[in-house]
Amino acid sequence: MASSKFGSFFKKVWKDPLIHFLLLGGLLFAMFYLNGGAVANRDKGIHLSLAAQQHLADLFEITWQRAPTKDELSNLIAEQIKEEIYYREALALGLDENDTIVRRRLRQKLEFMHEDLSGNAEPNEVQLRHFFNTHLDRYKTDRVISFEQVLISTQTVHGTSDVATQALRALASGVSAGKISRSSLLPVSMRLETGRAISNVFGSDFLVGITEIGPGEWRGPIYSSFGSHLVKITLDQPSRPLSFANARTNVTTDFIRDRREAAAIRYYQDLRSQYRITVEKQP
Amino acid sequence: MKIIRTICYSVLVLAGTACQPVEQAKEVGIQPEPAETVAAQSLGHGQPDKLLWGDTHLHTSNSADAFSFGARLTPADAYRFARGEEVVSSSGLKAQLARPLDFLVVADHAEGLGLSVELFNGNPLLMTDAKARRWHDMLNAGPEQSFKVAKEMITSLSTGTLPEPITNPKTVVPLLRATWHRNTEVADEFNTPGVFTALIGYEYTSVPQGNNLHRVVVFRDGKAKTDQILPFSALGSEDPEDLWAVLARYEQKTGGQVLAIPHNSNLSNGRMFARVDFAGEPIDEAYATDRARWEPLVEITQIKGDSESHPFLSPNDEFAAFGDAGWDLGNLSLQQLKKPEMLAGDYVREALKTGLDLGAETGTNPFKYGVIGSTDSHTGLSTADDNNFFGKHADSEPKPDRIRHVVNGSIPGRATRIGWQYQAGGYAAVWARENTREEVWDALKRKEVYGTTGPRMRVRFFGGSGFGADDAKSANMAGIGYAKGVPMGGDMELDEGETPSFLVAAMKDPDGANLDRVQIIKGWRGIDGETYEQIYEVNWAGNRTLNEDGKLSSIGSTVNVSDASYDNSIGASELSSIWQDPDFDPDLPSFYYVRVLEIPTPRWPAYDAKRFGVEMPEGTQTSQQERAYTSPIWYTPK
Repeated sequence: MASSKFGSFFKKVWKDPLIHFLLLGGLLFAMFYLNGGAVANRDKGIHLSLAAQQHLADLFEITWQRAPTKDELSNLIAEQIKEEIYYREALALGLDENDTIVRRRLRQKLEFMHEDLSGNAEPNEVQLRHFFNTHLDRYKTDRVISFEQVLISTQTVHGTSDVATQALRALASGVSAGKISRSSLLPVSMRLETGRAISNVFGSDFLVGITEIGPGEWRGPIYSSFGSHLVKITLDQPSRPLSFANARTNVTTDFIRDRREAAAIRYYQDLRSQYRITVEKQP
Repeated sequence: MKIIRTICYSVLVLAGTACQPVEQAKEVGIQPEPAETVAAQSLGHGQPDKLLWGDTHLHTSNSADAFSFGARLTPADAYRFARGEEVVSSSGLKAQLARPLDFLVVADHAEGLGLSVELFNGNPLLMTDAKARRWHDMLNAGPEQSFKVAKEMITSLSTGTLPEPITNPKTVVPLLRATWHRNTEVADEFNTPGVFTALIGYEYTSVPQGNNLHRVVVFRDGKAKTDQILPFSALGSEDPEDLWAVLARYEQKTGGQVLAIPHNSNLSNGRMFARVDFAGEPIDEAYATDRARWEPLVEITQIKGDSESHPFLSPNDEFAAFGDAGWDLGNLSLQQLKKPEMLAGDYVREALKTGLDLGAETGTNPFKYGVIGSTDSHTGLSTADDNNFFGKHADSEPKPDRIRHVVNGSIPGRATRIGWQYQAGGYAAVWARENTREEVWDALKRKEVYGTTGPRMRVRFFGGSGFGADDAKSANMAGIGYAKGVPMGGDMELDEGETPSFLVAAMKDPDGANLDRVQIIKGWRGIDGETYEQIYEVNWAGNRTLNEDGKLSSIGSTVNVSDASYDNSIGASELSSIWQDPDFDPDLPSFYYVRVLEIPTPRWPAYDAKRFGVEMPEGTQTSQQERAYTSPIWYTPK
């Protein structure tokens, strides 16, 4: 487990040459700081071990999918030496201070590092079930409605209640809906559809109208931008909880994301509590 | 030039896309879909009965130009917004769609994909170059400097003076690959079968001498397949035939499927639908076959204008000028102004006619285009309604002076495009059975799709024989349509002596404006070898009659410009009918498509003027009749 955590962390580091550069830089910075020197640390010299050279070659290979040639390797070494010299001189001059890019990258690096160390381990069954049980509101089906409708008038304004009353009476006495309906391209029924699908066809006013009446007999008028309708709700299935088995994939994703976010907040709060922070107010 | 050529080969090789003969496509048929989502209202024959709305052409901060113009929204933000969540726009405004979309293609430019972000962050691989370092500083120095970078980038691209690290595949390819893999990962994450479809895609941005030959590439497949290639860049080749070869290689390599959708033909100065290929050779059958195979659709309308028709080409069409103002002054960059003879290669209706002619000459119609609309928004926000227009670039997000902005590339005194000329528009409507990648893509491929300039009208169009008057009023209208004919995008099969009839039905946007009229636009190639067009008024609102020229009077207008409002006291909520072609000649190849017009509604500048209390510049168009264009149905003599 631990090795895979570190494996993915290092993979991320190797993928980004700048992170690598900063990692090295961080070490040098620490040395410089401990030495308390105001001039570049020239006395220590620069030593590139065989291991360090191999490391340069490895980095090259990760990017280009092949080993460097002899010339390329000696260029890499020359570049590395140049980079260290410039880096030490730049640090001595304090060029790292208040540089937005450096600051942003350092922060990002710390966040990456912490994120990787804190959270990609696969959660176990107990953790998932506990998470599911404490977040039941997240794992629900959509409310779905089945209904039949007839368009009784193309009037979209109120004042069609007489027509509606007559039509309702006719439907109650057994006249078929098709006989009453004005011809229209609107579907005569929809089955098990979500509010969004209903509203895409009939518009938002109609959706509001039918969500209020409940299953039973023909009701109306319900208004849409097409006119006045009578509606018979045959099924109004409220949003229902999903079983753990059906929600499992989403639970896993949510668990990992929540854990990572919580860890990041804790980590930051812990660090922040160690600082005394004052923000000057506008006079 | 040598550098450019080197990249061409490098990118080709790296993308695994060296030129190879194109394999003949296998037919994409309708395949049954697992019924894992909520049951749909069924027509009983597994026919497409779900109308899905989406945008096939949206840019995010990963497009180099979008980022430099201030876009900071990522593909993930774009998907969140499209599926209905609230996001904060690049300029800091809260934005949410009143009606979510069903699908989205994030189509960032392949050229320098993700590059501006890396420049902004100061990626050390790029900071080796003085110009790149300067751009880095400018991108970090606020909006004004940042816009300058966008303009310098565009100039550097067209003059071949991009910084060395940007043109060096060794530097750029790893960056490109990382961004591409992140994009495909996010698309897979947001793709939710049955609820929301995230199609993987990119834009191939070929623009020789400022002439727009852009194509949006759309995959049917997920990350596993699309990660095996890299987006093909116009830095590699500006010749679309090379793009098609790359697409063929993709299908061979992965077993996946892909198509390309050209757009902004209106800014190509005659090149998009030219009768010659990229090198200037007359189009032959091989070219026609490839083009028809890879490009089933064209984007007919979007923010940078409408490409259906132009008054010069269609003087008898009083609605032909929609969305043309400003955009018809020249090509994309305005490096070259428009000459009338270029227009035939710029507009889709004319291309459909040219296609019939080339089809007769070469044996294959290269321009057998179905149509969709899309936004081409560069803000990460897919908005197409006039009352929520979020602009072309992040610098034209809602603000008081944007209706007066001079659009990039304008030549003051000679050719100036003004902010108000942007069209708030372009959505794609797709007839599918379920909302999945496969279903949406297959509908695009078989052209059972249409485009609107923003509103969500519901349009059915079937062509065949033997439709009766009652069929248009039937509750099972679509079922009858499929039984007796072919849907939009199809080829009519007629027996000897039969006359084609059409079932055409349009419903208003349920939350929008009423309909004015339904038209069928026919194009054909005469025995004289010339091509012709005719517009038939098929169905309309109110008590109007056709005059002796077959024309219909105007519906009138309820638009109150100063209040940016209209009402539905005129127009109809639905128009459906059967139409027979009175002039049918079985010996002539022809096509038919439907144009549905809404009653007049306010344009976005009117909403801006009211909202911000500003004056509109002189000449601003304040209202318009928005519309839907269906894919055509073709007839080819046996």
